[in-house]
Amino acid sequence: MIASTRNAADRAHAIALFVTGTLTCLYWVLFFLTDLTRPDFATWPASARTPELPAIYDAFESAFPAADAFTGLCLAVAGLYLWAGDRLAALFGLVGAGALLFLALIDIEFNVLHGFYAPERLAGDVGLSLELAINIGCLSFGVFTLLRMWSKVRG
Amino acid sequence: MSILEYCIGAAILEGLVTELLAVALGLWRYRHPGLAVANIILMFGLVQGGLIAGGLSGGVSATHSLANIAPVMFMAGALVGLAYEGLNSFCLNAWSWSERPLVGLERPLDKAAAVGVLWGVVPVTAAFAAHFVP
Repeated sequence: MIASTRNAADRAHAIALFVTGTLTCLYWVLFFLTDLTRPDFATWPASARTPELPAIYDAFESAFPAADAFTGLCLAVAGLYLWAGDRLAALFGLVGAGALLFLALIDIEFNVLHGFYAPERLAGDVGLSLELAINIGCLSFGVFTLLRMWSKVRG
Repeated sequence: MSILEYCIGAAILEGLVTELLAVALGLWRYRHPGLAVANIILMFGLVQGGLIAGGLSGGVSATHSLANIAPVMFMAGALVGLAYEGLNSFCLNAWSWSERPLVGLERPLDKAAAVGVLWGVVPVTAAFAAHFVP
């Protein structure tokens, strides 16, 4: 049996890394099996509605699963190593956090350019509200993990 | 037979081949031989084949192809695999790694991480095999 770390902060971070990977996967399961994650374009004000936007959104989103799988798995592997108190947690943690920030920034730029954060569109739209929460979560957890893993590299 | 049953069957077959290869190459050994059978039926067949491959490939809408959802199946299979390998490494100890290196990996933790991610191959191959059965 492999011994696990006794550091409570590392244990909590390890769980958070694994949960982030799992939530990433859950988002894609919902994306493919339901309409829950999809913005409700029909409820947008007429002035903001462009006929091609739903197709652009679908094309943009469908480019993400492989990159998200890479990111989620890096974070989960980092969690496994961190739970064991192993130095390789820093390597996978830095790669995973970098990938998480990269994906979050691409997503945020797309959303800003297409006005997805406008309050009148966010109101009552579960898909867009989820998108915003994910963007904020990815940015904050990505920065947190980057800083924490960097401190481990520096010893 | 339905897609779900084909997925379960394909995954069980993959499990059988994997366990036979593991015995032949001396990669890992179970604390009890019955655990290998449980692993093939429950983890390979029901979880990876039934729940992940069958559930995702069977439930996806007509607008998405199997290739669209393959990365998600891989991610789900690998996450479950990592949790499973981690649980065994830190708590259960139902199987243990031999001294033999596994593609250059020697430490049990590295083997658990690599095999955990490799679990992702099972639902993807099972789903593709099931969908190409005439």
